[in-house]
Formats: sequence, C-alpha cells, structure tokens
Amino acid sequence: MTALLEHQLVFVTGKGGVGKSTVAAAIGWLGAASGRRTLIVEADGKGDVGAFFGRTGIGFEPVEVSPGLSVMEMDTEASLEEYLRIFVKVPMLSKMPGLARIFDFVSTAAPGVKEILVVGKLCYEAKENHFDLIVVDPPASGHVISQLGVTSDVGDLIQLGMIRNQTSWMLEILADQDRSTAVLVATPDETAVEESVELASRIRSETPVNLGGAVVNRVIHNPLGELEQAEWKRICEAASGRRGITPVVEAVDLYVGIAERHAGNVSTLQSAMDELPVATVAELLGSEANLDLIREVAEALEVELW
Amino acid sequence: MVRDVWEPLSRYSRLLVVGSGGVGKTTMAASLAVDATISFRLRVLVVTVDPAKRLASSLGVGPLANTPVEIKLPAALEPKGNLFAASVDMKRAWDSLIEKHSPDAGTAARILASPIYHNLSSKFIGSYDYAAVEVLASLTAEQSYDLVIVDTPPSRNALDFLDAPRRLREFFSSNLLALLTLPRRTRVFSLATRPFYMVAEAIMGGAFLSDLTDFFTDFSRLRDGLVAQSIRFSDLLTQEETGFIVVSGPYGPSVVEAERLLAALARRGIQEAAWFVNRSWPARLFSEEAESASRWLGSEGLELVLQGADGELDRSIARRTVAEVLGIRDQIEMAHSRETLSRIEPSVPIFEIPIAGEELVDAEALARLVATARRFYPG
Repeated sequence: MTALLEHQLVFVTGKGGVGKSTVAAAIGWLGAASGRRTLIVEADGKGDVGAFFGRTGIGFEPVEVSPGLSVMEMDTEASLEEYLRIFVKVPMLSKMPGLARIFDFVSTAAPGVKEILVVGKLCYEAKENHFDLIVVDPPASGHVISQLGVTSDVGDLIQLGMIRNQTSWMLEILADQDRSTAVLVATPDETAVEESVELASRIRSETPVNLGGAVVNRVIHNPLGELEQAEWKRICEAASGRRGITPVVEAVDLYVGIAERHAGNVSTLQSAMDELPVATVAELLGSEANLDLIREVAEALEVELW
Repeated sequence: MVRDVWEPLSRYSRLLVVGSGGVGKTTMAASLAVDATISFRLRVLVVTVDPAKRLASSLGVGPLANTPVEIKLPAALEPKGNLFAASVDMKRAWDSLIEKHSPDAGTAARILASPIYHNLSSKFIGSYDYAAVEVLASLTAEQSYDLVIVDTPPSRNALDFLDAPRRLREFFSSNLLALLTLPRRTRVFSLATRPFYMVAEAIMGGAFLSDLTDFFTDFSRLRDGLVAQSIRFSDLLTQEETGFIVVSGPYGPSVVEAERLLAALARRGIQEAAWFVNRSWPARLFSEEAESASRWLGSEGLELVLQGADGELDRSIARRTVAEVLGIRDQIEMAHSRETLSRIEPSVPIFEIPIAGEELVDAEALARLVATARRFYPG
C-alpha cells in the first residue's frame, strides 16, 4: 500500500465536528515538513485551516502560510471562471459581467455541476503538478460522497456538454490508488464510530476514491496499566476518609471510565475497517485551535500514520 | 424535584436545539425530552432531523418514523407525562410539500418523477432545513403535544435553518427563476440573456438545459402556496412560545460559534432560551478541598504509601501511579479552565452539562444528564 504522504490527493472525510480541519492541517504540516510542496484546500467555506496559521481571508489563490505549505479556499465561482478560461477557451465568457448570475444558475440548478467544479479544480491541480501533495478539507460527510461520486453520477443526468466530456480524466486521477486516497476522521464515541463505519462503506461503494485508513481524533488514553490500577485501588483505600479525596477519586474514575469506553470504540472501528490502518490522536483537553494544536496533532500522527 | 434547567425553559412550548456539528445536539434534545416527561404532566414530542438512527439509539428504541411513536419510559423513572419521538425523512417531507402545493396532480407527478427534483430536494436552498421547519409547523398545528423539542439538522451553518423560509421566498422572487423558465415563455433571447445560455449550454449541453427549463416551469406553479407557507414558518420561529437552546463544548471553536449564534438569533428577533455547555467536567471535582487533597496525595500521601510499600518495585509502582493520577488531574483541570467561558457576556442562562462516564444510549442515562446540569455564572 502506498504511504499516505506519497499520494498526490488526500481527501480528509468524516462527519461534522470530529476535527477534519485539524487533521487536514496536521497532514499538510507533515507533508511540508517532509519536503513536499504541499497545498491544503479548504472546501468547507469556514476558513478554519487558514485560521490555525493566523491567516484570515484566504481566497482561491494559494497563500503560503509556512515554508512549503500553502492554503487555498475553494470557491466554486472562481473555479468556474478558471474552467471557462482553460477549457472552453472563450476568454470573453469568463470576463462577462453576468458570470456571477450564471454561476448561481449553474450551481443551484444543475445536478453535480458545483461538485464537478470542486473536484475538477482539485484534479486539475494534481494534473498540473504544482504541488506534490494536496490535502482536501471538505465540508460535512454527505457532501464528500456527492463530490467524489459525481464523476460517475453526472453522466446519468447530463448526456452532452463540456462537463460530461470532462469527467473521464478526473475519474482516472481519483480512481488511481497510488495517486488519490481518502482518510476517514472519527471521534471515539459510540454513535460517532457507528456513523463512521457507515461512511466508510459509502466511500467504498459510492466514490471512485480508495479509502486508505482512519484517524480517530480526541481519544482519551488510560495512563494506568493493570499494575497501576491495582495500586491506585490500594492508595484509595489507604486515603479514604481524607478530606477532599472523594472528588479526586471520582475525577480519576470518570477519566479512566471514558478512556476504557474510547478504547472499546476504537477497537470496534478497527475491526470494522478490515485490514486498514487506524491511527489515534489523543484528546488535547482544553486546547484552543491554533498552530500549537496543529503541531501536537502532527507529532502524534507522524508516529502512527501509514 | 424539578431541575434547574426548566426554570428558564418551562415557558416555551417549542424548543429548538442548535449548535455546530458534533457538540451533542441530538443527545441534548433527547435528554431534555426525557427529563420533561419525568418532571411534568405533559405530552412531550422530540423530533430529530438527523439520520433517524441516532435519536433512536440514544432513546434505546428501534428506528423512528415520520409519525410520532410513544416511547415508554422505564417505570423506575416515575414519568409524570408521556414521551413521543419522531424522525423526519427530508425526502418525504419535501414530497408532501410538492403534493400539497401543486395546482394539479399532473404537475406534482412530473416534479416528483424528475431526476432534477431528486437532486434538488437533497441539496437545494437549504432544503433539509426547510423540510425540518415544515415538519415542526405541521406537528405544532396538530396541537396534540404540549412541548415539542426539535434537534436541528446538521448543516454547515446552524443559521441556515433559521433562514431557510426566507431563502425559499427569495428564490421565488429572484430573477433566477425568471431566467430558468424563460425559454418556455419566449423563444426570443435578448442580448442580455444570450451569453447566459451560451455558457450554460456549453457546460451542460442543450438537452439538459431544456429539461431544466421544463422542471422549473412546473416548479414555479407552486410559488403561491410555498411562499404563503414559508411566511407562516418564519412567524413560527419568532413566536414567544418558540425558544432556542444553543449547544457548545466547554472550549474551542464551538464556544465562539455559540456566541455568534446567540447574536444572530437576537438580530432576528428570536427567543434565546439557554446555552448548554456540553461535556463539561463537573465543578465539584475542583473544590478547594479537592485541590488540597490532590496536593496532599503528591506529597505526604505518597510518603505514606511508600512507607507501607514492600520493596523497591512496589515503591516505583506507587510513585508511577501517583504521578499518572496527578497527570490526569492536570489534564482535567485544563479542560475545566474557564478562560473561554468566563470571557463571554451571555444574554441567556448558561448550564454546564457534565461529561458522561457512560454511553448515552438509554433513558436512564439521558435523565441523569439533565439532572446533573448546573447553572454557570461567567465573570
């Protein structure tokens, strides 16, 4: 299997709120650290990745946020403009003042066109080789499936026209296992794991992209091994009656309980993922979204990444 | 005993739970519904617009349907009221909107059969959100429930839900719809619209463009009904009986998002009912006494344990254990730090919902969650 960072296109997928942007930024960070010209594409319109690096208002043009690492914001209207310029080869059209309105029309009404513009831009960047590694931070899970699946779906609706003709080269890039891969991000809660297993099977059945593995984010690890747990029990007995010891014991019990639950859910995901690698990133309690967080997550991932 | 949370919440007959993804909206909606049923002699309905499975599994029941089913709470919880649950199927909600507002059966049939409709009903103009409001409206109209709690759909922006009725009206009054239906009305393309069709045709092909025009010609026939209804929906959201609960985590981006949401609700004249800070570490774990006990554990306590230890191996295990336990304590303290929360100046009561040591997959666990919620006063 091709190592994750060896791919040209890495799609970070998962449901909302699991930390996709954080994981995407960390993978991008590792890519740049290994000397690859790396681009993180934000497609969820929130600007979270840029914000990690203290940058706001990043647009369609890639901005280098740290050495070797660029970030761009997906913008379907700008993508359409670029598309018309490159493929339709009618410069007049892309300069047209009504383009925004046309874009409204195209993206609102035509099935898959918006998705094609997103995927098309990504594949175009991959084809042009401006970057060694392109990490995509997409919007919530359902959209990823429709975006990645669109190359085959769109054919059913649109029989003729540019879009139809454009999908085959994109499909070639997306379906190439050495070139494109999807990473599933999950949290270690029971419902989140259930949903991730479902999403994994949808990625496999509804998109051409190969699922490479999963990252379980915000895992609370139990620092107490068997010996320490037995010892802690003895210490608790010895300290019982001590003023204020009850909430201390309760806090540890709560933490350890959550850790054990997480471990169980991670192994559930692991077995549902068949042979695929599952990396875990520890919960960094209380941490705010900034570059320190990205560095810490990147460090954790570096060891576990396939 | 009636829980603290109901003090600000009991005046509402509709509660909508909003917040960014992954903060636990579904769990909050379910546990509030369970607790309301335990505490009051009311008919309580909880509706989820999320994939059905999640609410169902957190209530410990099988798959839910569009029509509410009664959930029997365990007798041990001594419920005073009755609990009902439903899950909204977006596609079906939209289908019924189309059927309801089509001027004739033929129009409805054509729209429902169109592949364009299938695409639109799942992606179009925040249609998930719109369908959710539709279901809320129809369930409220039935008047068979005293309290309806709605778990709002996962969307990129929680405000999409609030703006869905307005956006639908905007669509019907925009030039866009006029453009989309133009070729059916006139074969004469003006200079202004010609480039539009050139681009559209180049990209999508002429055949598709004509399908699209047919579809929107049919769809525009629903205008009057849909617009009238969407105005009622907007009213429903701003009524006094409708309150919004904003959910966030204890730190990080969801807190910022919650503040933004509250401000946006206020701007729209919507009742902000409460802010739930989910997955908080219970404040009682951080009392003065607990702090001093944990300091004791690291010094005298450890000495005591070491004295009673049998040999060097035992002593090293004891040292390691105490060090790890204090490490856990540090971790939790960081999570409990009030840096973000203390800065905010909320317009609503804040409740901390404690992080659960168990999977929240049955009514008892859900009831415990609200029972242990505590009011938090920032500053």
